[in-house]
Amino acid sequence: MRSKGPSVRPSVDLVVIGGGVNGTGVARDAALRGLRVTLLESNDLGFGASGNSTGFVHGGPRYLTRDPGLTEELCRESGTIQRIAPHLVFRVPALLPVMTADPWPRVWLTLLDAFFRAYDRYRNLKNSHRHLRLSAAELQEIEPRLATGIQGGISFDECGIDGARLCIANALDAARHGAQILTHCAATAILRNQEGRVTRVAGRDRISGETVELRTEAVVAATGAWAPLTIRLAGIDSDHARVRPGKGIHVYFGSQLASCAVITQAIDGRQVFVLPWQDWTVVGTTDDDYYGDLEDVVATNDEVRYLLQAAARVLPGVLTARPLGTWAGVRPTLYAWGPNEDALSRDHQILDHAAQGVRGLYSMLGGKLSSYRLFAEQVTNQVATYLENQVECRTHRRPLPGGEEPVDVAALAEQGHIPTFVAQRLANRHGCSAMDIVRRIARHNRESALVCNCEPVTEAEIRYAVRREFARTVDDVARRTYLGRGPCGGMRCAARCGAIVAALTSRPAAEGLQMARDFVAQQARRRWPAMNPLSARQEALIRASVRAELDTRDAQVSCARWW
Amino acid sequence: MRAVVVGAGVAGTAAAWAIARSGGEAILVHDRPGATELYSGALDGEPSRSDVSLSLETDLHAWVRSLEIWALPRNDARVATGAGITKRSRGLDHTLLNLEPLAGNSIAVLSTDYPAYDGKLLARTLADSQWAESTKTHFTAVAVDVVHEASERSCSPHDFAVLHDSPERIEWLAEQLRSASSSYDAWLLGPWLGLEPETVLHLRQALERPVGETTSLPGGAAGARFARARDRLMRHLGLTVVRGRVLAATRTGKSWKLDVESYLPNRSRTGGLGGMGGRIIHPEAGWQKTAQVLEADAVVLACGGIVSGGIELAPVGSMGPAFRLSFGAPIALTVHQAVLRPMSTLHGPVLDRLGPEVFESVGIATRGPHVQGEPGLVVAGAALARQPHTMLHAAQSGLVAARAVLETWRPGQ
Repeated sequence: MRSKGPSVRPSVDLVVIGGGVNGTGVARDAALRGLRVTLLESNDLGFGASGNSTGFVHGGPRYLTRDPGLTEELCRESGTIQRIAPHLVFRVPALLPVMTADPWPRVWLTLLDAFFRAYDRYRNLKNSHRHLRLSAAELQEIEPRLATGIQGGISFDECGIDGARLCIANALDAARHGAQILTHCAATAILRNQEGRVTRVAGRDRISGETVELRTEAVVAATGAWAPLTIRLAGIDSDHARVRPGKGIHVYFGSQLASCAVITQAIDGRQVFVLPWQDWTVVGTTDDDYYGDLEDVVATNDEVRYLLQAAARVLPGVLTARPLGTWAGVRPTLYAWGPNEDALSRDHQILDHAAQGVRGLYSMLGGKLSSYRLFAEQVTNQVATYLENQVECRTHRRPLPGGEEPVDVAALAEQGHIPTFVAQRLANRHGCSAMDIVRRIARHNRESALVCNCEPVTEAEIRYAVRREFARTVDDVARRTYLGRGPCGGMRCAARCGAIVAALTSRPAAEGLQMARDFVAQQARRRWPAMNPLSARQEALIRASVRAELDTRDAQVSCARWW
Repeated sequence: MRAVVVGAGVAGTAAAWAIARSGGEAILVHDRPGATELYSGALDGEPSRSDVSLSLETDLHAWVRSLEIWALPRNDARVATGAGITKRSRGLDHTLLNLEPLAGNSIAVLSTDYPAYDGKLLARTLADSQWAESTKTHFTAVAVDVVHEASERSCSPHDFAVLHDSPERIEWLAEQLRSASSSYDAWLLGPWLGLEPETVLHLRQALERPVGETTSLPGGAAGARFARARDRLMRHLGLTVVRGRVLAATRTGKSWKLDVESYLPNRSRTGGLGGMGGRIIHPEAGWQKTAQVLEADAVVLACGGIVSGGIELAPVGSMGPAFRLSFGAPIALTVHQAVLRPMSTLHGPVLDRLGPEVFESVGIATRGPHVQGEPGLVVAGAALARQPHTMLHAAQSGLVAARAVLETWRPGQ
């Protein structure tokens, strides 16, 4: 018994393939301009780089010496994102210590000071404070857990954001303006007529198996690292949309290892950061050419040790902390043969495939999370011109859903009779839209039950994720709410979440159980590379408990889907 | 003949019982809940479905009977897990509902306003199971209020179970269930039907039909019930239980010496819980660490594997093998029958190419229960290499270890 996918409108102006931050950004921009849009995402919104990035909305200080224009652009866009999504953005104060063991530490400190003075010129664009040059004593006072042997350092501040929630917010706004968002729907062909104009996109719902056929005037391929694969759907060779995929991983811990971000250098000189993030601490990231399966990117033990070695240099506590897990993604960096991964351009590029004989088809290549809105605006401008639409772009002025009004956490807690910390998390994730969830809790008190205790996720929020935020699996719900990402590894919450998702999407309960098993297995694979003596007991317990609860003896678990 | 049993889980308890039963002296040393006290309530006979089912000895039946909380039905049992799966098992904690004899019947699944439990989802998932469909067994959610006071909603399942040990509470619960419906053949409730083995029996008597719970999550009622039953059995047998941690086990000639770091209460406080009974001892009110030396003719290592902390991953920077015993003892650990070699890295155990299954494959190398070259040292339970990790296998291995210890010493020696 298959579930039906959402019913599909057959004729639109624009099909966007790819539900990352670029794809959802374009869908939103186009929908706001009155175009009829359908977005096809093969997995879940934010499945790729967008949902696995660090979530640092920074002004690109490290590009300042090579490309100040890019830095200015990124700083301006950081300010814009803060304006349109104030609920999703949080300030991250950062320290950049220089160790006495570094080469020429005093000279380097002076150079950094000068550098940040130049970077300060852009600070008003992104509402940052002026940087400070700090002595070793001052740094130790701000963060006592810093290692000894510090010469001095710099403090500055940037913003953090949850990439996956940013994608959801863009998709929500697009949907409010008539766009259709189809997740777990893979595009299978891009068809054109005899004049070479794009006419149809065929797709397949990977959960129900149903096929989808959409008539359209234009197609934007916003599939990130998948770009060379997507372009083949139109019969165009992969060489015409080349990327150089760069894998980046993160390790996260369940406690706060530092009260602010700390930037340091790894053994090969690359920048590594330790970032406090809600209840966690995130350490990242790597940058390595990736030749593997884009649907199944998992960190390796070596990568984890490389990062922890770097982090331990400034925060030795990292080595005695218990890692909760890892996540990994692949950057869709612009292609270039020759340079080292770090030296590649972080700019973005729009390809108009009229050059290959397909008119109305555009590919988005490269880009950074911070500049997604600008990239989307530029692409939508081109598409609008092609479709003879003259409505102006509004995405920099109109707030994203949840950002329309400030949130009153106390009022949320009171209205829903929920603890303040639960209300706070709802506010972090949904902004003022959290009131919709709380109103439902007030009417259906049962739904205030916490399904996941590690990351307080109420039943109401899970239902909201399925009903309104396009979630169709347990993994989707986890991407939106962090359910099951905490110490319990989903052992306590995955089954119940699966049952709720299955019930809401009219699927058999057995499918809910299978979703839970898949999710728990996937989480275990992500935890394994960070396994260390402190986490072994918990890992073994999770394994035994999952076997007892979900009966995974001899189970065939599909982590990467093969269909 | 005196034996020290390290670990008071299912293997250690079985070994201590068997030794005491044959006239030996057994001292149990344990310091914290291990895998047994975190178990679900179901007694798997096979670790994987494709394995051959365990053949149980008569001794094992005798031990299970003396523990008084488990049932090993002649035909396999079937339990409902908290996730809504029906699962065959060799035996079960008798507080759980055995679904096997209820095939083809109509089972009411409690639905109530207790946040940690969702009866409606449970009923839906159970009803959808292959077993329910093939045997035409019906699961229906029935709404009953079983939460007596609002504050109980934030109780953990373990604490909620404690509340149900009071006979008044059980009578009230039975009345609530009876008023809701008498037309179902059996009732399935959440995992909180008391920590005393009689509690569920009272409920069954009051309702005059099968009643039972689902499996527990770690930290839930099933494990707590085992702990109480074990403590009761040890008291009944008059065995000494030392609350403490073994630091080292060393052989001197033919006997053994164990260095134990134990905890003695400075004072203990007891307190009630609501008006419904239950006594809780607050250990934080002053435990004193003392060093103790125990001497014995034999040692049974029933300290458990990775879950219990008996075997651990070597810390980063250590120079030995990737796994080690959590205390000193003349043993070697093996993984997949290969003796572990020292690590060739400064950065700690590398597990990349091994999967999490390695946690269950690592164990102490033995011949049968014996550690070769160390007379009087035997191993039982999850600490054994090549030992399937099920409760019943562990219990059986405890009996085997006890027999091995007793064979070496005949009465009078």
